[in-house]
Amino acid sequence: MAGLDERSADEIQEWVDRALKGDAERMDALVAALAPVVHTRAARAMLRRKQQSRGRDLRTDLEDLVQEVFAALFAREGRALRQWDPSRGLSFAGFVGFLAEREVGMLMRTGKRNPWTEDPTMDDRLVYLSGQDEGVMERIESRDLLDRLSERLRERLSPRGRQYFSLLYVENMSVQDAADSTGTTKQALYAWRSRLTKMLRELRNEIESDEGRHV
Amino acid sequence: MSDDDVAYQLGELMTEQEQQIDPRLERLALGELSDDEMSALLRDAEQDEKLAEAVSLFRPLGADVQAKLTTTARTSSAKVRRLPWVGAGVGVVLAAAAAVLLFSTAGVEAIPQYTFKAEAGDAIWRSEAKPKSRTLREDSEMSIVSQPARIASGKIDGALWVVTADRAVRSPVAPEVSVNGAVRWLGVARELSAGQTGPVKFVAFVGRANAFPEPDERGGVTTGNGWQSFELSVEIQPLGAAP
Repeated sequence: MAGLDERSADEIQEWVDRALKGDAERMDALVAALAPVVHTRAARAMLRRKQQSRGRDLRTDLEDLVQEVFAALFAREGRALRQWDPSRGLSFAGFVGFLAEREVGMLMRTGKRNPWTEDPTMDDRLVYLSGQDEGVMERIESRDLLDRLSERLRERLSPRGRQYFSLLYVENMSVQDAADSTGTTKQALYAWRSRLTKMLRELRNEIESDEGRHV
Repeated sequence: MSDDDVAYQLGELMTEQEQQIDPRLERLALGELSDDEMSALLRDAEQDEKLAEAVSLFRPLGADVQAKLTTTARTSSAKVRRLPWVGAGVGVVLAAAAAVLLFSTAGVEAIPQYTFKAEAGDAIWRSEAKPKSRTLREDSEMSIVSQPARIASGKIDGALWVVTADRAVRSPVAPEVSVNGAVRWLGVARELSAGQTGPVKFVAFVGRANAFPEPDERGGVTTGNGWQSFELSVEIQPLGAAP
């Protein structure tokens, strides 16, 4: 992150603190440094959901979304930003990216500020296709629900949970290999795997309850 | 489909989503593409509608947007002042006035009936329904708002307690009190809970400060002389430990 990458954690915290206390120069630099982080996370999230955009001006929606995320990051004297704890392993940019992705997910899912939620979604497509082959329907429905599940998972997972999910289920590492690569015990990894699948089960139930469907 | 099957399918989906994003796009957003790389990307985008759409999303934010972000950051981070706020919904208050219950007390000025509403993430709890326990992350933004059925007269105060299995402590988050007598607490869950994680019960009191009992002195009732209360049980997960 420009201007902050080379600085120590203490320097970054001091910088953020002074910016939040009204140092205009540092605030400008902080915004310039954070903008690309928030921008790329928001852009990725919009690309994943672009089937919902239905011809809207993506760029305008993106810029609005980035602004909403900034409002959340800096709200109440920058409480969210002040929660960065370098001892937890994430760089400041990584932490901001994590917060941004979660906020974007919330904003787009809950519809509080999502212009796309009023548009027809996959649900309507499913109705339209209802006369088609059941196997096709199931595949479309399954994919749609997996998309929703993945968005909720991104929103809900902690940084560490994301790391373990990625190792175990994206990179398909064995528990032993994931434990070796993270310096964690196998027992801890098994516990994490159990927590992750439990969370998935809860999210599936949430979606099922929200939408009256089975995943 | 088993939980593990779903997890592996999600893993595949995330890999697929990642592979669909051209690796040059992130560098485009960061302004790190050379002129040659930029020309090549734009040429490719001319032949590929999806890539063109992605390029429109990832091209760097303009100076006008940066200026708006700076304004947003300054405005949002400005120190919160305890000014009168108008969240008490006076119209609703007046409409409901006929149904107001007054709790007359000996030596304590009566207060109007209050309703309570708590929010954290997409979870909402209301005093009208028995609140269900939910799991929150310690960094979840949370609010507890109590509104009077009519404008409250006299000084109204609030007290938020955090009750765990072995103790009850006052939350360090001070309530904000509107001119209408509405009371609210805002903060992240960890602040509201005084740093407590795990199973936590919030007990919010509104009314006359000198009338507030301690949580375990209420004998199971939610209203008393000059006070009303609301309970909410949650499980607060530490950020590092939550999956």
